[in-house]
Amino acid sequence: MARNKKSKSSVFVRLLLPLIVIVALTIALLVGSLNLGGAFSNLRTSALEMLEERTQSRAETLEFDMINRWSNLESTADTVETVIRRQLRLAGAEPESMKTNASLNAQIMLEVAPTLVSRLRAGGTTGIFVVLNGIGVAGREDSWAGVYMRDSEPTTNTAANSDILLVRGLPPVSRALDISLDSYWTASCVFDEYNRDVFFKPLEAAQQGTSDDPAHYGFWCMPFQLNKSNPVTVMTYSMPILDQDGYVLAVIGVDMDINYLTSLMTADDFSREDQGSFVLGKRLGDGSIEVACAAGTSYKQFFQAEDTRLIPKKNMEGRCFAMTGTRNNREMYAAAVPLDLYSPNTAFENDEWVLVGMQPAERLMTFSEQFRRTVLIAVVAAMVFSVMVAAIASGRLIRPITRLVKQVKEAEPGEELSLSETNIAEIDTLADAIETLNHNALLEGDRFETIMQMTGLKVGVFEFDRQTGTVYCSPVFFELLDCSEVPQRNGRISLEVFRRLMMERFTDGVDEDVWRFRTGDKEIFLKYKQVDREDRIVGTLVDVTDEIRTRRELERARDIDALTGILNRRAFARMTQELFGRRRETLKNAALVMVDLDNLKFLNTTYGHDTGDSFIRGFAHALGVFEKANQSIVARRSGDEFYMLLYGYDSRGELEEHIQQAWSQVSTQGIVLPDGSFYRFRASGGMAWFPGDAATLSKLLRYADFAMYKVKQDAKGTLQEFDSNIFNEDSYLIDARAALDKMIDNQLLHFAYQPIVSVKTADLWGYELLMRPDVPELKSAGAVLRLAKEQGKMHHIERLTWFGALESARMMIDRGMLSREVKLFINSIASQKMDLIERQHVIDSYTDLLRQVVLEITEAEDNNKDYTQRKMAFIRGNGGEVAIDDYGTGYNSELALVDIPCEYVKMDASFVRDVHKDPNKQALAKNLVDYAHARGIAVLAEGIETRDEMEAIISFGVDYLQGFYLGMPREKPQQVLAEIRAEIRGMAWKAQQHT
Amino acid sequence: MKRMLCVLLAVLMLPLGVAAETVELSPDDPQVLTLWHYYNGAQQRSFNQMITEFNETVGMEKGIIISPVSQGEVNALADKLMDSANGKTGAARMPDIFAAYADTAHALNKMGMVADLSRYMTKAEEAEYMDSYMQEGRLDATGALKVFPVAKSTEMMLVNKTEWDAFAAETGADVSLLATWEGVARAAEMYYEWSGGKTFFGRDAFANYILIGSLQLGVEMFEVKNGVLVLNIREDVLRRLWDNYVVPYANGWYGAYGRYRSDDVKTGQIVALVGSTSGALYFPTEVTRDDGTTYPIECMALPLPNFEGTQPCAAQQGAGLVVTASTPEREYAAVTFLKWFTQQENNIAFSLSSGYLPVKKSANQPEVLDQAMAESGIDGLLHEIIDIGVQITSTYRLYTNNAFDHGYEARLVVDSSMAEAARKAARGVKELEKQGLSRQEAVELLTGDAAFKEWMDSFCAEMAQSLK
Repeated sequence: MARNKKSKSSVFVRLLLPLIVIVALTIALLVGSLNLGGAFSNLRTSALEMLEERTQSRAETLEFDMINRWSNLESTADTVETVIRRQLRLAGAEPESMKTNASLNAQIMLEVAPTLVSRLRAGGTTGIFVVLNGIGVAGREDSWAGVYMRDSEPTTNTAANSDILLVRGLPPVSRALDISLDSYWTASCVFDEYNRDVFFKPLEAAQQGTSDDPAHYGFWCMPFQLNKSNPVTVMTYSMPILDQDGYVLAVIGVDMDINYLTSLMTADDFSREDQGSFVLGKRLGDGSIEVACAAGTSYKQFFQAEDTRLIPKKNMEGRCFAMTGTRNNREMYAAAVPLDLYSPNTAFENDEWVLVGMQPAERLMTFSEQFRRTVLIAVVAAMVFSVMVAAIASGRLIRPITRLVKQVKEAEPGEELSLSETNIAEIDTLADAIETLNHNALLEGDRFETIMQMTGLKVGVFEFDRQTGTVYCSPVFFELLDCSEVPQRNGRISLEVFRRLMMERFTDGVDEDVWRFRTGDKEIFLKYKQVDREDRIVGTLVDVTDEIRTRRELERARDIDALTGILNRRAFARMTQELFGRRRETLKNAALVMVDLDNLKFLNTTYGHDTGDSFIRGFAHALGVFEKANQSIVARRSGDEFYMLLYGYDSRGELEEHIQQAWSQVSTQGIVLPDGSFYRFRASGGMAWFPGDAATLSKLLRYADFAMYKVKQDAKGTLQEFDSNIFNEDSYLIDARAALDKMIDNQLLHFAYQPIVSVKTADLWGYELLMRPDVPELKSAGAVLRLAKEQGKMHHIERLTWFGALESARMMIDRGMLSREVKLFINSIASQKMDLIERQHVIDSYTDLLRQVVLEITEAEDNNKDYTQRKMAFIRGNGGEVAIDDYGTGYNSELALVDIPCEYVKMDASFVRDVHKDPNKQALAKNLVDYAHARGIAVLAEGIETRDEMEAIISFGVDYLQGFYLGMPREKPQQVLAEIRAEIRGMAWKAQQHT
Repeated sequence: MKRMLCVLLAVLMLPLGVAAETVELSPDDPQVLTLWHYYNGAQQRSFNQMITEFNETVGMEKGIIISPVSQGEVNALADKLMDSANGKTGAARMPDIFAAYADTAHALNKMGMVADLSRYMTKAEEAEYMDSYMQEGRLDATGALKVFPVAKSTEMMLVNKTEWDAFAAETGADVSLLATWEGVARAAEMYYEWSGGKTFFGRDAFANYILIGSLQLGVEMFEVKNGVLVLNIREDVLRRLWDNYVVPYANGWYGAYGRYRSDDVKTGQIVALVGSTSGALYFPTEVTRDDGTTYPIECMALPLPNFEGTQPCAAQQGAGLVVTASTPEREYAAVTFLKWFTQQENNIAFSLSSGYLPVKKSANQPEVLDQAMAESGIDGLLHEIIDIGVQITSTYRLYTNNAFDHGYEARLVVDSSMAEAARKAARGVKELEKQGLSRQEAVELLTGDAAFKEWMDSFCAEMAQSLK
C-alpha cells in the first residue's frame, strides 16, 4: 500500500468530522431559522410592543382619571352656578355687577366654599378653585374673587380638614371651614404670567365661542408655578361656568400637584429592574414633546431637570421612538400614547396630550439580549456536547478496531490468525476476511516453497523486523547456511543470533555480494542481497555455485587466444594490472618483453594463411620456455605480436640470464613448412626492466614496445633492452602513437565537409566527409591512417569513420545545415570490415542516412576482397552507393573497376594537378572518363585547385567536381559560390559545343 | 449637665475604634429611596432643592436616588406610617426614610422596623452633632442611634410689632412684659382693654406649654427611667399652668380663631403668638382683613416666655429622620444621604432657608451662622429669628421628653385637655355674659378652684386612659 499521509485520516476523524458538520449545520439551521423567522427581531419588536402596551394601559388609566375623575366638574359647576344665581337674585343684581360688587362676591364665595371642600375630598385632585368673573377686593381692580384650596396629599383625609390649606379666599372662608391658611395665602386672586392661562383661556374661549356647553371650553393647562412667590407647581383643568345667556359667571378648576401626579404615575407598571419612566406631556408641532410631568428614576438619570422637551431621535415600530439622554448620552426607548382629553370640535382639541412610557434601551432589550445569549450558550453547549458524544461514540467504535489492529500487528507470521470479535458487523467481516487471507497466505507460502524446491533454485529468505527485533529466516536459508542446529521458533531467531551467524559464515567474499562457503568437502557460492525498508530489512540468499562455476569457465575461455591457446591480450592486461596493482610486492624484479615475428607476411603470401597460422601457433608454444614457476605471463598481443611479463626474480641478473637462455632456445626452434623444409622462428623483441626502466605498467609497455620498434627498424631478429637515450630522441613518434590511442579511445576527431558539384546542373551534389583528428600530435587523416596501420588499429579507424561520419551528418541534418538529398562520401578502409554487431548498430541508428552514403573504397596492399564485397553489399542493401577512390594511383587501377562494381569513380588528384598543361594526363583522364562511362560509371574529379584545371576536367566530360577551387573542407557544410557555379555552367555549355 | 456627662461617659465607654460600616453601591443600579416628610411650602421647596442637589451630585456618583414625598402634616405622616408598619390593607409600602418624632420612632422601633444608624457612623461622626439631639435619637437602652437629627426647632414669641408699637405707645406697656407668662397675661389684658375687646395672644402646640411649664415649675411630667414612664402630675404646677392660660383665655385676652395662630395673626385676629422657630418665617408682612383689604405690619421676634422665677426652658422639637430597617445597601445609602444633608454647609443652607436650626455643634455657633447669613444676604426677620433661635439653644434648657410607650397618646391628652378646657371656658364666659353675668364672675365660675379640680380629674383620667 502506498503511504500517503496527506489523505490518511483515522476513522475517529472521519466519523467525528461529519458528525460535527451535521451538528453545526443543524445549529446553523436553527439559528438561521431564528434569525430569518424573525425570532430575534420579534423579541425586539415585542419588547417595544410591551412598552407600548404598558404605556397604553397607563394612558388609559390616566385618561380615565383625568376625564372622569379630576375634570369631572359638571355637578360642582352646577352647584356653584346655582349659588351665584341665587346670590345675584337675592341682591337683585345682574352678573355684570360682580365686576364691581366685592361684598356680593365675598358672600358668594363664602357659600360656594363648602361645596369645593367636598369636591376636593371626592375628586382626587390636589386642589380646587372657583374664580368669579368679578372683583375680589374693593378698590383693587386687578383682583378677582375666588376660593382656592389645596390638599397636597388627597389620598388621606384627616379629620377636621386639617390637611386642607386655603390658598385663596377671604379670611371668613378660612374661619368658616376651619381651614388653615397656606403660607402663600392671599385673600383674592391676582393673575400674573405664571397662572393667567388657567383663568383667562377658558374665559376668553367661552366669550368668543358659541357653544353653550361649558365643557366645550375646558382647558388642560401645562404645569405652572402658582405665582411669582409660590413655588408650588401644578397642572390644572379649568372650565367656565356660564349662565343661560352664555355669560361667563366664573371659572372652576382643579389642580394636580406635579409632585403628587408624579407619585401617581410612578406606579408599579414597571418593575424596579425595568427602570421605566412615564412622562406626561403635550406634543408640539415639531414632533417634540413638552414635558408636563415626569415620573421614574430612569428619567432623572437620563434627563436634566431643565429639560422641558423630549426630542425623538429615531422613530421605531408603532408609536415607539428612541431618544438620547441629555444627561448621560445613553439611549432611551419610548412609546408615546395620545390622551383623548378633548372631545372633537372643542376649543382646545388641538392640544395633543400624550403619555410617554420609556425605558433605557438596554433594559428594554434585556430579554431579547438574554434570549440571544441563551441561544448562543445553547449553541455552544450543543456543539460541545455533540462533539463529546461524537468523540465517545467514535471512541467506542475505534476501540475494538484498535484492538483488532493490535492483534493483527502482533500476530506471528506463519501462524494461523485468530481475531477477537468487535461486535461491529462490518469490522467483523473484515476480520474474518483477514483471517481467511492469512490462512490463504500461509497456504500460498507453502506452495511457493514447494515450487521453489521443484525448480531446484535454492533461495533462502530472511526478514528482520525492527519493531520486534527478531529475524525470520526461511527453512532454505538455514539449509544454505548449514545451521539447522540454531534454535529457532517458526523460523524466528533473535537479532543477536542472526548477527553471530552472519559474522561466522560470511568470511570469504569472492565477488561483490558473493561469498564462498565450504561445507564439508563441498564448495558453494551464495549471493546475498538485502533491501532496507522503514520498519524491516528483507534479504535473500541464493545458491549461485553453478553460475559462478560457469562464469569462471567462460572467463577462462575469454582469456585464451583461440589460435595459440595462450593468454590473449585482454587476459594479459587484466593479469598485469592485477600484478601492478594489489600484488605489486610479488613483482620484485621483472621484465616486460615484446616480441614480433619477422616473416609472417612472407609465409602468408608464400604458403597461405594456414601455414602462417601454424607458424604463429608454433611460436607461441615455443614461448613456453619463458614460463617458469608461475612467475611469468605470456600472451599473444595481436597478429604476430606477443608479450611477456617475467617477474618475481630476486635479482635482475637472474632474470636476465633466464631471458637470454629462453630467447636463444626459442631461436633454435621452428616449424616444418608444407614443402617439407624446416623454417626457424625469427622474431624481433624489445624489453624493459622493472623497476629499472619504469615503475608503471604503461611505461613498461611503451618502453618495451619502443625497444621492439627499434629492433624492427635496426636489427631484426634480436632482443634488445630499452634504451632511454634513444627513446627520448624518438619521443615524437612515441607520442604520436599514444596520441592515436588517445584519439581512438576518446573519439577525438571530427569530420570536415568538402563540397562536390554536379557539372550537369552546376548545383551542389554532395560532400566528402573528411576525418580530422582532434589531437595536436596527429595533423592529418593520412597520419592517422599510417599510424593506425602501423599499430594494426585500422579497424578502429574504420569503425570511427563510420560512426563518426554518420553521427556528424545526423547532427548537421538535425541542425538544418545539411540537406537530406545530397550525397555523403565516406572513406572506408578496404582491409577492414565491421562486425555483425557494428553493422546492426549502423542500421539501427542511421538507416535513413545510408541511402545518401557513397562508400569510398580504396584499393590497398592488403585489400581483402571478401571484406570489400560484404561491405558493398551492406551499403547497397541499405540504399547506398559505392565509389572507387584514388583512381589512377597505384592501388586503384583499372583492374579495380573490373573487380569492384561501383556507381562512381573518383579520379585521383594527381590526374587533375595541372591537367590542362599535361597532354598525358589529359589523355589518361579522357580515357578514364570514356572507360567509366562505357560501364555506366560516373566520374568525379577531385583535387581541382584552379579554374583551368576545372575547365579542362569539364571538357573531358567529368560528371562531378571536387577540390579547393570549388570549396575547402569545412567543419560545417558550405554552399558553392554562385560565380563558380556560373563558370561551371559556362564550361559545361562550351564542352557540349565541342562534342 | 449630669445627663450630658452620662452621655459623654457612655460614648467613651463604647468600644473605641469601631469602624463605620460601608457598603459597595453601584451607580448603574442605584438605590432608589423613598422619603416621607411633612414639610410644606417654603420648607418643602428648600428640602426638595437639597434632595435634587444630592441626587445630581453625590447620589449620582454613588448610586443613590432620594425620592421625597410630602405627607403634608406630621400627624398624618405618623398615621400613615403606623398603617404601613401594621400592614393595613391599602396602606403604602414602608418608606425607606421617614420623618418622625421620637414617640412614633419608638413605636416602630419596638416593632423592629428601625435601622441602627450607629453601624454606619464612627463615634467621631456622632460626636459632631448636638448632644441633646443625639440623645433624643437613642431610643432604647442599647444607645444605638435610631433617629437622625436633621433640623431642629424650638419655640419663640412673635409679635405684630406695628400693632404692639401703637398699643405700647398709648398704654406704656413695656416689651419686657412679654418675657414671662405672667407678663404676657397682663399685657394681653391691657391690650384687651385698649383695643376694645380684641385678643392679644394665642398659641398652638399646647403640649409644649404644659410639658415645658411643668418642667420649669419643678416637675418633669413624663419622666422616663430605664424606658419606663414615671408620670409626675403635681396639682400646684398644673394650677399655675391653668392660671396663666385658661384664665386669660376665658377672659378673651387669649384666643384662637382660625386653624392656627399664624392664621390669626395674618387676619389680624391676634397680635402675638408662640410658635415654632420653623414657622416664624411665615409671619405675615401684612394683615388681611375679612373683606380682603390689607395693611402692612412688621414683626418682632422674642425669646420664649418663662414663668416668673424659673429657669429658662424651651422645647426641643422638629422631627428627625428615621431609616427603615432593610438591606445594608439601602440603610447605608440612607445614612449616606443623611450625613450629606447634615454637612455643615448643607445643614445651614437648609436651616437658614426654612427657619430650622442646624444640628451640628459647629454649625450652631452665632458667628458661623452670622457669616452664613451675611453670605446668603439674609437679614431682617429671618436673621432675627435665627439669632433668637441660637440664643435659646445656648441659654435655655432644651427639653424633649424621652420616648415611652403610648407617648403619642399621652401627648395628645396633654396637647388638647387644658386647651379644650380653655376654649370651653371662653365659650362659657360668653354664654354667661349673655345671661347677664359679668365677665369676671363668669370667669371665676368657669376657671375657679372647682372648675380646675373638675378638669384635673378628667385630665388624670384621660391620661390614665391614654397610657393603657
